[in-house]
Amino acid sequence: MTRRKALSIVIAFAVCAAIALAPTPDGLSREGQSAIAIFALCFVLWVSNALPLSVTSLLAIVLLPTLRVLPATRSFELFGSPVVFFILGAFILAAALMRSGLSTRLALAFLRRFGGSPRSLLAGVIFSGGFLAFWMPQHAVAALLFPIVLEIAHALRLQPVKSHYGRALFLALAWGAVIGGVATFLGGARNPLALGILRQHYDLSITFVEWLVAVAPFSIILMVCAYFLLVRDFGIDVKDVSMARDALDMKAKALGPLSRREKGVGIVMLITIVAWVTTGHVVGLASISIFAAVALFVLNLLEWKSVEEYVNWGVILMYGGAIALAAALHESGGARWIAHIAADRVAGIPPFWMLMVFAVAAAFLTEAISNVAAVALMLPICFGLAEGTGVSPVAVVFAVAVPAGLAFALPMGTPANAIAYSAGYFRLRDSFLAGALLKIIALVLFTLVVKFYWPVLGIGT
Amino acid sequence: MCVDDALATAERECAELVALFILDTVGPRDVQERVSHEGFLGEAPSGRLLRALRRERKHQGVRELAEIAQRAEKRGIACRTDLEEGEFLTRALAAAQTEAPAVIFVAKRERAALARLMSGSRAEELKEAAPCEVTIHEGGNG
Repeated sequence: MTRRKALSIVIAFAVCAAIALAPTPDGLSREGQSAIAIFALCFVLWVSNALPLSVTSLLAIVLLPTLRVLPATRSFELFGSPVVFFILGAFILAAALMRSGLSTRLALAFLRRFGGSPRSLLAGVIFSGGFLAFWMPQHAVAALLFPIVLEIAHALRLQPVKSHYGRALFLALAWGAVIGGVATFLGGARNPLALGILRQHYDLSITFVEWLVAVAPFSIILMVCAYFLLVRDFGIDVKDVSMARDALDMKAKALGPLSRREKGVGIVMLITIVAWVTTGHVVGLASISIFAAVALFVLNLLEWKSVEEYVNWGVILMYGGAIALAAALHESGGARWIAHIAADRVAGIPPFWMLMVFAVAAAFLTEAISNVAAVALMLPICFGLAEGTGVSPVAVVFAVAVPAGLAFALPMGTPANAIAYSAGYFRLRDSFLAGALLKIIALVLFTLVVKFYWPVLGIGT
Repeated sequence: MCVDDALATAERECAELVALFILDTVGPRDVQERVSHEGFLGEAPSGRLLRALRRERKHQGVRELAEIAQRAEKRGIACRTDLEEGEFLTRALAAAQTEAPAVIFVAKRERAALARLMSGSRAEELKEAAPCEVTIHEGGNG
């Protein structure tokens, strides 16, 4: 363990102890104070990445009963949230997509269709990443597209750092996956996590279709903006992409004809999406997700060994712990007390601007910490702040979860950015400057969506 | 530029240039860990990513070394190239012991000020530990 990590852990526990042992302020219960202490501990550990995210969540789960915030049964019960099982099923489906090779085939089909000119190939990278991230985790999409984009770079003999097109191509890889990841519950697990916290707090829900309709248009327009920004910022210093098209054709040919496994996985995926859209609000997203996962095994399309190879089980600990922490803050009154402190400052802010403040805060926080952690930390507090102001909790979920997924500027913001940066084709200042500009564009676009589009859908106040 | 500086010095001093490209194992592994711990992808996709990253780094290293050798040859500078894989500081110090250079030129990749503050700079660590003069160039690739 590095000195920095050790120091972060010491600071986290010191902050936690200082808050827990301080005199209890007026208006705050003892349980609420302890919940805030655990919240602070998780904040430091999630920001510093001193421990794996899921281990921090696990720590929160055991500290809740230990510090008497929640009874042990309640604390562990929260692990069984339907959202955790939805995410689990979604990860198993993504594993089947990757294991069968269908995801690679889809990406190649997309890119070959777009590969006529340098500009269209660049658009193809953004849109194939974005489209795939509608249906599978954005990190998986970035990892999947990475070798393909490398192949394109090699075929075009792009020089790392020196080639403008190379810079644009790798930023397109990251940005496409990131932007697509906000559009559905499948692209980023922070979206269902936000849904789970909403259910814990208010017993409210958002259906698959409602989310898709509310966010997908924003996501698609932002992809178009990202494309124009890359073309404008980096220029196209490549005239012919026929070599890249040949490389993609060869790669596609090497895949052979569509296999039985790919067809089967594709059909299960399609049926699952239709079921989420049509019966998700009746049967429950989690039940459909788990049914789909079981169907993959029944139809012999996936082996358990593959699931173990493709899914990191920390996912359950992370999301279970995050939901438990948010519920503890709510049930103990800790979130309301924090909101009460800030209430004077936010009193009188119109609901629209309050949503924008949440969005801007989430958009910037996510550049420094994991977007899942950003949602887990911000949402309980934002719910508290919004209470009594006329802002609907559903709007708060959208205003926090969507911008929290939009990390463009720094490699530390999201694994997709780190993957693209690690290839060495663009410099930190390239992603920082262009990413900051895209962030501003995204926030302006988001403002327009909140102001004009969501009210049409009945989302807002 | 680091390479320009190294070539000019070797030419001026009539010295041999040893170009070493270290395929750092730490950086790609960090990315793999993030994909695994933050993206919750299992060993298969994250391992594939790691292999792709290492292949790419090696590809870039071979290309850069060939370019340096070519430039040195044009200027009549004796030049040897070497590509090694491992932890940057350990490999660089080992090479410094074996080759006993008069001066080391290091190209380091730019990093955010915050990242430097948090984990320090390995090039600076080399400067402190090396048995000879070390010149650091910002904005390099290796």
